[in-house]
Amino acid sequence: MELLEALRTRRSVRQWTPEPISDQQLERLVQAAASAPSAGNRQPWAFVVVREPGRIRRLRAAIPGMSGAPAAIVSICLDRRRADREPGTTEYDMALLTLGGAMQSLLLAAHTEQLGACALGSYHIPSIRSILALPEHLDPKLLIALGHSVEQPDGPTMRPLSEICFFEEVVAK
Amino acid sequence: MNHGDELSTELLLLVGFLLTSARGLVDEPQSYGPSRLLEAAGRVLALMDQQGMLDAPLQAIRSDIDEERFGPMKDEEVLVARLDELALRWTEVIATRV
Repeated sequence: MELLEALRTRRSVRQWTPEPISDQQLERLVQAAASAPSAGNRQPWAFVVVREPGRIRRLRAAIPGMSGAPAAIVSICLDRRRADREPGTTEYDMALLTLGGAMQSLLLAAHTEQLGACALGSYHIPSIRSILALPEHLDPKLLIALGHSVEQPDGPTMRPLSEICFFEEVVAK
Repeated sequence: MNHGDELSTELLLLVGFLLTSARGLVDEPQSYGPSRLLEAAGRVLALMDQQGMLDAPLQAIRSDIDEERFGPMKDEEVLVARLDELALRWTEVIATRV
């Protein structure tokens, strides 16, 4: 799949079949995520991959934003040992943006591998920390639910380019 | 695991979902509230279905609720109209049963 086509056709998939994903495939996805650019090459991330059905069921109770039952969940964590400035500092903000790039790379890699994925930001952090046994230096900043799609969902309504893109300077509309 | 054990497990998980939803909604966008309640309705209906408690009219509403759960998020105006329709249909379907 061409990159632009992948960007255009990727959807947030929230319903999956029970078919598992192989560890090799999951490793390819994490490798793709970790290929994203990172500010100062800090690579301030850790990826916790969950594929045990029992653990996924418990996670589902702690992730209200996840409707279906995925085959795997990847927690993209901020490694505070590699980004130790406080929230509100440029370093911290750049680290979060870096995780956003990793998220998009993982989503696109999943899409090109014919998997359906959804990025999730609504979850109960203390419960996630408990279920994943996260050490103190790892903060779960994003979760990606993955699996084989039941169907390709319709796309959402998109804002027109004329409303969001400006050349040279911003003109009030 | 027998049927009763599985139901117990699902109920434990459902309560977990409700509690973490309650906590999340304190500081999440207001528009997430309806989504969480739709999700809860969908999960309860899934449990009822597993127990063989859904007939055709209830199945039809469940199917439409699932469409909302698994589809893209809608604009508020569209969502409100959809929720009004689902709520009214549910009211009418249970009128002969309750």
